[in-house]
This record gives sequence, C-alpha cells and structure tokens, in this order.
Amino acid sequence: MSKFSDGMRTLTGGRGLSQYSMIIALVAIILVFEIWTGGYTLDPTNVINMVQQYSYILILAIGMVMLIIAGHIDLSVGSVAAFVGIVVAQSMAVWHLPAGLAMLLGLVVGALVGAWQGFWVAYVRVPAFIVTLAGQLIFRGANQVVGNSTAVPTPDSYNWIGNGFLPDFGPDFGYSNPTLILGLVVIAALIWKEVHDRRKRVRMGASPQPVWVSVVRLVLLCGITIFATFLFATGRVGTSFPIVGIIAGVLILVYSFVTSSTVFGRHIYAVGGNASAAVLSGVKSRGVNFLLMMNMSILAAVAGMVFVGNAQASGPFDGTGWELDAIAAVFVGGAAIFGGVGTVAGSIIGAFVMAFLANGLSLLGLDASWVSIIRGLVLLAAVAFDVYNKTQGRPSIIGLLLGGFRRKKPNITEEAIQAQPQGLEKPSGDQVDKVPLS
Amino acid sequence: MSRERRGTARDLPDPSAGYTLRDMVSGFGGRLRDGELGSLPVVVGLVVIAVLFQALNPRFLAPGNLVNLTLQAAPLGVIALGVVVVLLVAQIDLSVGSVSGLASAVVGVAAMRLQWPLLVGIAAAIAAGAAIGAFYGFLLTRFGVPSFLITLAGLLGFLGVQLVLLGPSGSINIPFSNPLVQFANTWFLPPWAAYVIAGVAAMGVLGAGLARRRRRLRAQLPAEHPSVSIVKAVLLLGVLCLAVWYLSLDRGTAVMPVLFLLLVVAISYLLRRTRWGRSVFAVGGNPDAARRAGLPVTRTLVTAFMICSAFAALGGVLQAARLGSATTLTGSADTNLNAIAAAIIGGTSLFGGRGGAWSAVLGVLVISAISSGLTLLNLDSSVRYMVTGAVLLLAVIVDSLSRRSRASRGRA
Amino acid sequence: MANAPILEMRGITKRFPGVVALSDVSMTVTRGEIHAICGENGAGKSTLMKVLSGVYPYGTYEGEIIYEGEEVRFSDTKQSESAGIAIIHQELALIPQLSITENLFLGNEISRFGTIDWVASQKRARELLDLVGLHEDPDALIRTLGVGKQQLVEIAKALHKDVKLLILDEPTAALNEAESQHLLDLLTGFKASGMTAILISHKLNEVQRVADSITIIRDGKTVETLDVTAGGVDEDRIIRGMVGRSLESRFPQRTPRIGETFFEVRNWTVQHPVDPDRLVCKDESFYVRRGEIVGFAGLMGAGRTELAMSVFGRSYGTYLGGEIIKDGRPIQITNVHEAIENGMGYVSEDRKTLGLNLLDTVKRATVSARLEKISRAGVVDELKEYQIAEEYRQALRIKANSVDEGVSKLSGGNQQKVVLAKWMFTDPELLILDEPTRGIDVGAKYEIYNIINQLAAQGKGIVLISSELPELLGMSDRIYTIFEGQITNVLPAEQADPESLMVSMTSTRRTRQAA
Repeated sequence: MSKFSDGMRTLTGGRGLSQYSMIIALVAIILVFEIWTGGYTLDPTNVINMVQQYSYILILAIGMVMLIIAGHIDLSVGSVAAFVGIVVAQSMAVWHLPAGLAMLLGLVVGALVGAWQGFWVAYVRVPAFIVTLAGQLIFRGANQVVGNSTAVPTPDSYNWIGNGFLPDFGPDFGYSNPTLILGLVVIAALIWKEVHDRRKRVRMGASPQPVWVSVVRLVLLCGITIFATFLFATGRVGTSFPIVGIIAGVLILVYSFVTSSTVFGRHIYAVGGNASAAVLSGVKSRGVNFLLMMNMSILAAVAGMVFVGNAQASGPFDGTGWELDAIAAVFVGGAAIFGGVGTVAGSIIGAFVMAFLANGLSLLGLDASWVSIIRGLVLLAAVAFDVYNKTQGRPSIIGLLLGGFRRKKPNITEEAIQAQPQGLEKPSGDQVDKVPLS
Repeated sequence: MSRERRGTARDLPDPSAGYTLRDMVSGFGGRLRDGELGSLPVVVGLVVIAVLFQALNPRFLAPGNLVNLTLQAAPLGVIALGVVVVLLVAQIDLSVGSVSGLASAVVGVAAMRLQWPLLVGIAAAIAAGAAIGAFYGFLLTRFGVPSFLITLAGLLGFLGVQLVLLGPSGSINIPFSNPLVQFANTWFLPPWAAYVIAGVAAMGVLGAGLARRRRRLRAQLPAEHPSVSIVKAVLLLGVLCLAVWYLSLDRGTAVMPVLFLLLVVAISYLLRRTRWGRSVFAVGGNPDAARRAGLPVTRTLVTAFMICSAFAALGGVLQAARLGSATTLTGSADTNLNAIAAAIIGGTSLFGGRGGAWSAVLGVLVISAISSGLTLLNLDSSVRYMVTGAVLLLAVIVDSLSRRSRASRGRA
Repeated sequence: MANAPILEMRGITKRFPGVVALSDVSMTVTRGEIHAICGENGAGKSTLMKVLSGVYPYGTYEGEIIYEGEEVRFSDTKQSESAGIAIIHQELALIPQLSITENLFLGNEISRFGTIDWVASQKRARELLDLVGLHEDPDALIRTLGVGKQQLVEIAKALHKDVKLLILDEPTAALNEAESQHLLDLLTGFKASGMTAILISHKLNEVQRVADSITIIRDGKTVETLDVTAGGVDEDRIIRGMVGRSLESRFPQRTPRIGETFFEVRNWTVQHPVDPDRLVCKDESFYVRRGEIVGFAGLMGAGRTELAMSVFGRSYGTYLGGEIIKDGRPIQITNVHEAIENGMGYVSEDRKTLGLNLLDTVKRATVSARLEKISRAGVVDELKEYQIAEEYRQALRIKANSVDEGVSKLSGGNQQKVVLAKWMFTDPELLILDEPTRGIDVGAKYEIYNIINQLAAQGKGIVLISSELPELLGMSDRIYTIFEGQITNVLPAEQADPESLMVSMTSTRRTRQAA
C-alpha cells in the first residue's frame, strides 16, 4: 500500500495528487467534449486547428507561470501581443521589411515593452497588476494608433509561422512523413530521458524507483505521443505537424529547463517563496523581477506574432482576454496564488485545459456570453482549488478562516516565533529553557 | 473640505490662540514643504489640462461642453466613489466595469422587457451589485483569495451574465420618454434652485464651522477664528455661483451631477464621522493593528466591497440612462480603468488607508476632462485608451514614490 | 500584605507542542503597586501576560487566575479588557495613518446618535494626553510621532478604557533615556492615584527604581518574589535571581586555537530604517580572530541583530558610517551577494521568515546561498547538488527521510541544521550565528554546539549572538556586551560571569575592563 503510494508520488513528480488532478481534469474535459461534439474534438482537423488557434495560450502560460511563481502577474499580455502584432504587420506593409526582420523587430518591441513595465515593478516597486493594468490600456491604444483601428493583412512569407506545417517529403504512406519522424524522435527522447534519469538517480546513490513506475510512465507518455502523432499525421492532405506547435514545443523545453535546472530558475522560486530569505541568501531580487517582466512581454510578442500569422492579419481586437486564459492556465496547472509554487509543465497542462475548453465551447456553438462566464468560473475554481489545497491539513487553515486575509509579511512577528516550537523530536522533561518567547 | 489636521502648532496649543486665517495659509505652506501635497497637484493638473485643450480647441471651455462634461462625469464618478472605499481598505475591485454593465442590463431587462416599475428595476440592479460585493467580501475574508484575482474572475463572469441578459440583440433601448433617460439628459435645475443649493451649501459650511467653534470654545479647545469659516464659506459660495452661472449660459446645472455630489457628501460623512468609517481607515492602514485594537475587520471588508459594487451598479444604471440604452458596450473596456484611475488620481492610495470621498470628484474631473478634450480634437478611442493608461500609471507611480519617501522619512 | 491582592495567578502551566513554556507559575499582585516581572529572554514573561490577558484563552493553560476576588476565565482579550486589564504589547496597536484622537478612540468611539462626536473626542483626547503628559496636537498623525510618544498614546488609550490593571511589556525597550524617564514617572504617578501596574522590563535600574515588588521567572518557573519596599534589593540581587542556575556541562569541550585578527569592523554606525532619529548601532567597533568564537551578549532590542545584519551586506537599516577591514584591507560591501563573495555568512535569528524558503526541499535549501559553486554556465549540476546535500545531511545528522524532503516537514532543530548547512556550503571565513539554538531542544542544541566548535577548529571566525548567557559563557572565547546600540564591554570568557555580563547588558556601567 505505502509502496504503491510512494510509486504514485514518484510517478507524479513528487507532488502527489495535485499534479495528477489537473491531468485528470484535462482528460475529463477532452472526454466530455469528445462525447458532446460527437467525436469531433479529437478529429485530426480539429486538433490541428486547435493547436494553430490556441498556441498563444501555451506560449503565454510559460511566461505567466514564471511571473506567478515569483509573486507577480501580468494583465497586459493580450494588449502587448496585439501591439507587437500590429507593429510587425505594419512594418511589412509600410516599410516592406522581410518577414524574418519583421519578426526580429517584434521581439525587440516586446523586450522594450517588458523593460518599461519591468522597471516600474522591479525598481519603483509599483504592484505589477496595476502597472500591467495600465499597460493593458496603453498598448491596446498603441495597437489602434499604429494600425488606425483597422486590420492589416500580412504576407504569406510571414504567415507560415502561424499556419504553416512541417514540409512533407519522401514516399507517400498515407501519413505525413515529417510528423511520423517527429513522433519517433519524441519517443526516443522520452526513453532516453527515462533511462538517463534512472542512471542519474543510481549515481546519486538514491533509491532507484521501482521499475514498474518507469515502465508505466513510459508506456503512458509514449502512448500519448503515438496517439498525437497519428492525429497530426492523418489530417487533411497537405497538413502535418504545425509550425506553431514546434515553436511552442521548443519554448516549453527551453523554459522547463531554465526554471528547473538553472541558477536563474532557482532564484525565481527563491524570490517567490520567501523574498526576505532570498535577499539574505544573496539573490538580487530586483534583477530577477525585472527580467521576468521583460521575458513575459517577449513571450507575449511571440504569441502575438504567431496569432497574426494564423489569422493572416493583425486586427485591433486581437488578444482581448488573453491574460485571463494565461492566468487561468497557470492556476489550473497547480501554481499557488501567493507564489513560490508552480511548474512550466503543469501550466502547459493547464493551457491545454483552457484550449480544449475554448475549442469545445466554440464547437458547441455556445455564444460569447456563456464562454465568458465559464472562463471566469474556471479561473475562480482554479484559484479556489489552490486555496483549498493549502488549507488541507496545514496550520494555515486557522489563519485563513480567522481572517488571515493577507499574506503575512516576512517580518519577525511574535506569531512567527511562536510557531517555531512545534514538532521537536524528543520532548523531554528538561526543555523549559528553550521556550522561544520572552 | 477635510478637517484641518496639522495646521495648529506642534507644541501644546494655547487655547486662547485659536486658529486663524494666517495659520491656515502657513499650515498649507508647511504641508507643501513636508511633501504632503494633498490635492494640489491634481488641481494644478486640471488647470493645465483645461488650458491645453482650450488652446487646441476653443470649444473646450464653452458652457455647452462643460454641461456635457458634468453629465458625462457623474456616472463614472459614482463608480469611482465606490472604488475609493475599496482602495481605502487596501483592496481592489477590477470588476466595477462589468458590474456596472451588468446593472445597466438588469435595469434594461426589468424596465423594458419585464415592464417592472422603474424604481423596482433600479433597486434590483443595485441589490444585484451589493450581492456581488458581498460575495467578493466573503471569498476574500473567508478564504484569503487576493481581491484582484477574485474580481478578475468576476470581471469575466459578470460580463458574461450581462451578455446573457441582453440576449442575442445585444442591446435594449430605453425610450427617450422614460423618466430615467429624462433624468439623465434633460433634468436641469432651474437657475434659482441651483443658486439656492449653492447658498445652502455655503451656509452649511459656515454654520457647521461656527457651531464647531462654539462647541470647541465651550470645551476649552482652540478653535478656528470665525474669519476662517467665513472665508471658506465665501470662497465656496463664489466658486459654486460662478459654476452655476457659467453652466446656465447653456442648459444649466444638471440634476445627475448634483446627485453624485450628494453621494460624495454622504460617503464622506460616513467615512469621517462614523465608527464604520474609522475602521475602514484602520483596516486599510494596518490590518494587524486594527485586529489588535478589536475592530471588526471582516465586517468592514465585506461592507466596503458591498458599497463598491453597489455604487458600480448605480453608476451603470446612470450610464444606461444617459445613453438611453443598455448595450454590450456599457461598462466595457475603459470604464474599469477610468474609475480606478479616477480614484487614485484624486489622491486615494492604492496601498490603503489614505484618501477620501472627495478624491473621486477630483479624479473624475481629470479623467472626464481629458476624455472630453480628446473627443473634441477628433482623436479616437485609441488615443484615449493610451492617455488613460498613462495617467493611471502616473498616478500609481506618484503614489508608490510618495509612500516610499514617507517611509524614508519615518512616516509610513 | 496590608492591601488585598488585585490579582493572583496560581499554578499556571502553559504548554506548547513539545515544550512547557510555563510550569506552575504563581504570583500575587497587590492593589495599587507596581509589580515588576524579570527574567531572561525566553523565561516566559510574555507568555504569562498573554495567559492573563486572554490572548491564550481559558482552557489552553492550566491553573487559575483570581482577579478582584473572583476566578476569571477570559476567552479573548475583549473580556479581559472589559474587566479593566489593559496590556500594552511591544508591537503597538496603532494605525499610523490616523491621528492621535482617532487612534485613542478606535473601537471605542464617543458618539452621539451614531455619529462620532469629534468635539467631545478632542476634549477627552486632550484630557487623556494631559494625563500622560504628551504635549502634542491631538490631530497629529501617529506616523509623525516617535516611538516614545506612540507608547504614551497607547497608555492614554488604555486610560480611556478605565483600566484597573495596566500591563506594560518592555515599554522602554525602544525609548531613549528622557522618554523612559518620563514613562516611569508617569507610572509612579498612576500608582499614586490607585492604579496597579505590571511592568515587564529588562532594564533593571528602572525596575529597581519604580517597582514595589519583583517576581523573578526563570525557565518558566517562578523563582522568587522580592519585596523592594522592604529594602535590600539592588540590581545585583535581581541579576542573581535571574541567572542563578549552575552551568551544567551542556557544552562540548574545545581547545581553542586562535589565529590572527582577520576581520574588523570599525566605528559602525547605522540608522533605524524608518525612524531617522534612532541609531541602532552607535559607533561600534569589534574584531574577530581566526578560529575564535566571539560572543555578543545583549538583551532583546539592544541592537545585536541590527549590527549583524547591517554588517552583512547592509541588509538592515541605513548605513551612516564605519568600515570593514578584512585581512588588513578595507573592503566595500554594499549587498548580500558581495558579503557572501567576501566570505561572510549569516544564520538569521528567525529561520522561518528570514532563513529558509519553506517551500524548498532539503537539497535545494542547502545549496541556495552559493549556487555558483555547483553550476556551470548558469546550469545547476543536480548530481553535485544531491551529493553535497547528502554529505551535509550525514555530517550534520539532519533527520530527514531524504534530501528531497521538504524543509517545512522538519523539526526546528533539523531546520536549523539545514540553515547551518546552507551557510557552511558557502564556505565562509566569518560566520555570524544569530540565536542559533532558539526554539531547539537540548539534544539538537548540543549537536549544533559541536558543529560550531568544528567550524572554529577549521579556522573560521564565529560570531555568536545569543540571549542565553550560559550558552555564551560556555561557547565563546571572548564576549562583547551591547546595550542600546553601543558596545559597552568586552571580556575574555574566563573572566566573565553572568552577573558581570548582565551589568554591562543593562547599562553602560562596566565591571572589569578587559584588555
């Protein structure tokens, strides 16, 4: 029993059921819509469409989860994406920039916007939500100024980043060859990683996981990959795996690595987990905050450019409500509202939940009003779930219920000192002199 | 308008010395030197805005435009007034726009589709607002979910409810004959009534000042010299009469802005003169200390959110009345930010505990003046968005910086 | 015993999980006296007062409280307040943005028909301020007042509630000489008008001056009650009661091998972060030699932590002046990162709020202060991380299932070992330990002492800040005493004893001048 639950824990990445629950949510949502739409949700055409249409949620969720881990938020991502999109579109329409250069310009504009917002958040310490709330309006306006409030079409040479596919080649088996190859590469990578991880744990001298855990995990992941590969490989003629999927995939890999394995990644968690302790450990928290804000806007720029490519035009209302999709994705993905907790991988699952939700609702022909209500409820539910999780069996339940409505600032309070003597190992008679109260 | 706080000398005041005009002036100068600018920058900003737009378009300060401006400002002002209360308890409500839109839809549906009596419809809208606020307050105090997240979800959710209520057509027209629309567009005070109100307000200030002086003297406290009250009253009378006269060159003083000012006076009274008002400031200033002092922190937070949402609802009703319709666009886009920006520009701190009801008036004047000026210049909504965003950011930056400078001078 | 007692506390025992904070404490307070409670930090004084005022409600402690002749069972502070017991905590319950008047009546407003009567409030405010001798405009905002004046406002607030028993917890800790003087005069005045007061204070000269009787608490037990009015009680007598336990062999043996001076702080002066009128370090100078354990003794609020944190990368207060000399060269350290680079480490006093990110696992916490050491091109080598964490876990005997365990699941002693591991990993030459054994049980304490000794044996300089005199005496080679932000004395450990240290910790008076 305990062995089994240990296995479960390792299977779910050491986080127990909470990481599990969002996968369950994702599967449930897919199944519900699959039944509801009469099997159309997992139709290859729809899946390809969905990846192209909603990849922006994936890209934004990556940046958003990093910000939320560090205890900030960005409400301006939709407007920033729209602003960058229109700048890119106009640069090609008016200055006739080549597509590549236009994309570079877009990234630079995103970085500048991020630096502007990051400066206020990190160095003047204006709360991020209000800086970006203002940014939401400023860059929405800037979008309409640059684009004269009209849609600006983009050339085909550019659009491939949004609606392009991996080029087909080789003999025709009835499947898209590059997609099959990609699928094989992914499966190979998964197996290699599992073996590598096992070896590493053995070298660490840690108890190696039971073999069945590895096998189950590999079978599951490879199964999903094979299923996805066939979905993408059996689409309409001329389609294969979308370019946006590649872009999102690369970003996910890179940022997963950054957050989990680099010094910078550790600093993000440190700042979000306990800012005072982080500073006292030599973390330059202002620099971290600045870079995170800037990074978010660059990713918003990428999301905006991809979206424009798929729509083949940049419009004045692009990106409205994107921030909510991204934030909801992050919270669905298991990040904590007060920072310090969250993973890129979890947020990606959350982003898939949001994408399938949006896709399914639109397939059902539900009108915008209900979609809006449901999205609001999902955000609230995700946040409530986090709070509920936090109150499970932790001492903070009392603080929450008795009105601890605000995060305790890390200053030396009596309560904090009082909280210390719990759980000493050996309660013995002669302990009076370490009562931490004066 | 607020009680003079720091005008008197720091040492033990000599009860006979009292508080004279000179003290008022020197106290004002002293505050300036202390960096406690109060509402001065806003007033200066307003003047700058007026001069700038007047130079660009001479119709800006024309009576007709100013009458429009007062009508335009009132609904937003009501919403901003609610935001002030929530900011004072160091929380925020990002959903006031949606809630106002929802309320406009409720009134539209109730009065037009269901043919309910108008007042019942309005009451239903405001009650819906209060219920939403209570819900927010409950989530916040019971579970500790940060208010900006709850209200962000609310922003989306209630926008959806608004759209559902409006149905597929997306709008409900309220005919011009409807008293609600008439109230918001054609109800103007007759000039004599406007002057009488101005006179009553001035007399009120004078009377209250003198009465306070009498009671303070009886209590052997230093009191203002009568000249202070008289000068204040005369100044107020002059300003009000000038405004009434100038507006009367066009259609005159509208009823809706007067209603807004009455609400401001009422909230100001509640904040300054009741226990509830004290606990609002205390909770916003230092919730731990407030709890230690035995104040009802939870109740204060919940009521603050209820007031905010109820006022947002009322603002939405007025908005619908002014436009003669409830549409999907009522309360959309920049209403939210305009209201929050107005409250902060007017001098209410984002960080709680500092500010007052009158900041809604000043802030909404700035926001409406900018918006009206830009409209006159034929600049479209995009520029207005940018300017509003920039003004909001500016106000918050000033707020953050002044908080830090106060902290560094040991006054946080 | 001529007067009837106003308060009797009998057999009070208060337990926290794993610790007994108070064990069978009894005290009797006579009506109309000033009753002082003395004891070392952590002796249980504040806990006792929290039991009395209902912060710890009836049922969470054992024993009985007889107040005004009846047994009382307070379930919250409101009840004790309405019974006429007012407690003024070290953290004040004032709202900085509100005026004096507004604060005085917060939650207790004078109102007519539901409207606050500001005129009556002002009048009453003036009366109350006169009573406490605070000559301030009642409309002045609290944040414009210094701590001393804020304290007076708190007292005035208590007076408004018609208090019979006023409890002051370290009222003068943050006050200057004149302010303290005023406050004590005030207390004496109140006594004359029949009020009873309980005074908790570390400043024994003050206690001796104003108190009629003194209850001494040590290790959660009442030691004795001294009758000051009967005479014969002086500071030394009180000190003897406070520290009068024998030094058991609770400290591992060590033969110090002390090298040359390598770290020196000269004329260090730091301003309080929000109150520019207060200096938390006044022209302090000290030095540390290699392989030496230097103790810093001082009572709570004396400025020990402030000194340590400001030296450690200026992480506290506003730096005004002073220099740090390392290996004979002055060095500039303006942030924590530079401090770590220059071989300094600081184990903070409060590990939960300043020392650890409680969301970390043991291994992540262990390497968190010096990630550069195990990373290449910004990428953390997880294998090394694991090995290093495992090494420290075994060396320090951290009781955790594995280094992947969350630090929040560990006990206090093991958390502290993780913090120690974190700083040992930075390989500091100078390690500042701020209350390293607070809230830790005896066994773990001994282990931590062992670790400290090993570090010293490796030639590191150790600064040990502690409130527990036996610990300082048992561990240190040399002891500095701090009082009100000033270094008052320095003694070699063999020449120091609790009494002489306590004297230098409670006044600028010096006993023996050391070399």
